[in-house]
Formats: sequence, structure tokens, C-alpha cells
Amino acid sequence: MHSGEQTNQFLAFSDVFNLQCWLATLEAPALDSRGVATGGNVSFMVTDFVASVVDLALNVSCIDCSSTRMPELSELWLKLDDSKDLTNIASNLFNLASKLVEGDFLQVAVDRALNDARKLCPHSLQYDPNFVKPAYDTFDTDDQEETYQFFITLLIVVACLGAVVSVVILAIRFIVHRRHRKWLASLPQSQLLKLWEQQNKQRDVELWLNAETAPLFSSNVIPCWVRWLMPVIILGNIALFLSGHLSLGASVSVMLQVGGQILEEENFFAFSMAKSTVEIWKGKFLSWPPLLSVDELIGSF
Amino acid sequence: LAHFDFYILAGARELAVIIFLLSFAWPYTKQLITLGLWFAPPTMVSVSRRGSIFLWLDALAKWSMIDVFVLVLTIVSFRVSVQR
Repeated sequence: MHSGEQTNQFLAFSDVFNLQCWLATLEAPALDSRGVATGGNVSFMVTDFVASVVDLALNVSCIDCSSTRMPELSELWLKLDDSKDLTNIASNLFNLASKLVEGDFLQVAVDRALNDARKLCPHSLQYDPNFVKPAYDTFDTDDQEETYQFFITLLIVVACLGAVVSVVILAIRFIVHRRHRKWLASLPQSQLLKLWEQQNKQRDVELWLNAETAPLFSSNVIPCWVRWLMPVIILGNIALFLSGHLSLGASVSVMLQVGGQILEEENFFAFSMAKSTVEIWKGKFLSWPPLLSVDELIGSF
Repeated sequence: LAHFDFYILAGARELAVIIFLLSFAWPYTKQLITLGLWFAPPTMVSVSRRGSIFLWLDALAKWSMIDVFVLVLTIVSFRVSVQR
């Protein structure tokens, strides 16, 4: 633990049991609009937090249990004592606590508390009976900037791919066109004339077909009921897609069995395709690491 | 585990874009194109071009199946069983 300079604040005897007054005796760092100490000034901080467990034993005895398998669970706990697994779990938990205590989160809370203490201690010169804790600005994240960078990268990649594909297509067309011209040049005049007539006929047929053919919806070749049914099917299909994307896609149920006792949590996590995609985009899958940490602790068994 | 955040941030947005394009945008696009072609006169879209578009739609329609693929993968991912 590190404590910086002390203030000229003296502790009155009546304030001995007032925590705010004890805190007011410490130098409070200047805070910025977000409530974070400016210029790296720190007057009180936890520099090192060490806690260790040498041996942890857990004795579980069933006093009133509905499950018949609870005695087995007690035996299991006893077996864990032998394998030192419980001690390892406790050590892991203490390590996690150490990281939290030594981190920025606690430091910010301490700095804010030191600043507030002077206004809350009755014998402080800066005491303010109407003191209201300040509302600090929220921390900005660079999500927006990341999104823009991602979009720019995506656009560049798509543009590059498009350029490459266009070049390949143009090259193929150029080669095909050159071969076709070579082939035409090798043909005799009479055959060229025949080919030209054939192409003209084909073009005329196509033009006639386009002029005379009705849209599929009003074509006489297609049965009337099919003509009307097809748009209904397509619109129905769109409605089904919308329903599938927006409604519940799947749900996760948790079933925990401890000593024969079943604990069940229905719909622990429910998601739809639309919701999942938005959450993946926002990176909310980051909320899963705490669960994985628990899994890791269980895994250390 | 310490690098889990990094892995997610490294791959998730690309996955989101793929799912959005193939599972959201593409199914509606192909349905609307089919509906449009059903009503479009050959003077607007020639018969040969209409046939060509239908063939392309038929070939590319399978890509919208990726949502089923993703859903199955998600369900399998959540099927976790821890036993002692």
C-alpha cells in the first residue's frame, strides 16, 4: 500500500470513528471530468496485494436434505481435500481478487472517495452539508472508430477484389474476342455470309419473342392458378423468413445436478438470428468470459 | 483464456457481416428478384436474360442456407455438459 503526502487536515477526537474524516487526512488528487486522477498524481494506492491459501479443507455434512445422494457429495468434498483441488481453486480466486484490487477500477474509486471525504467530514474546512456526489463523465470507448476502420478495411478489400475480378474478366473477354476474330478470318466468304444470316435470324426471333411474349404472371401458357399462387408463395416465403429471423431462434436451458438434486433454469439464454447478429457485431459475446472463468475453475477440479 | 477478447474481436465482425449478407440480405433479395421477374414484361427483361437470371438465382440460392448452418453450430456450441 502506498500513501502520499498528508494534508494539513487534523483529525478531531470526535471524528475518530468517522471514516470520511480519516480519508480527509490524506491528500486528494485532482480529478478530471471523468473522475480520474490527472497527471498520474496518486496519494493512496494499493501497490501490492498478496493473499495465499496453504491448505483448505471443506467439511460438508447434511443436516436436512431431500436428496438421497447428499452423503455422496460430502464424501466427494472429502476426496477433494486429499487432491488439493480446493486449495488450488481458492488460490485462483485470490489471484483474481489481487488483480481487481491492484487494478485501475479500485484506484479510481479510491481517488473519488478521497475527494468526496473532505466535503463529507464535519470538521473539514471544505465540509459541505449539502454535498451531492458529482456525476462524472462516462468513459468513451473507441468502438465507433473501430467500426469505421473496419468498414474502410472492408471497402478496400472489396474494391481490391472487384478490381482483380474485373481485370480477369476483361482479360478473358479480350482473349475470347481475339480468338473469335481469328476464327472468323479463317472462314471463307460464303460461310461468313451464312453465319451472319443465321445470327440475324436469331436476333429477329429474340426480338419477336420479347415483343410477343407476355409476363409470366399473365402468360396463357401457365395455368391461371399457378400464376396467382406463385406470388402468394413468394410473399409467404418472405413472411416465413421474417418470422424466422425475428422470432426466437433457440434457447439455452441449464440443468445442474448436485448430489442428486436437480436445479433447472429454463430459457437461461434465448436468442434470435437478428439479435445474435447484432450482438456479435457489438462484441457482446465478451460477456461470456466470466462464464468461461467459472468453467475454468470447475475444470481445475 | 486471457486472449479470448482478442480472438472474438478479431473474428466476430467478419462473421457478422457474412451472416448478415447471406442469411438476411440474400434471402429477401432473391425472393424479391423472383417476384419482380414474375411480373416483369419481356420488353423490360428479355426472355433470355430472364432465364439466365433464374439460373443464377437457382445456383446462388443455396448460400442462404448458411443461417441453418450457423444455427446448428450455435446449438452445438451451447450443448455443454460438465460431469464429475
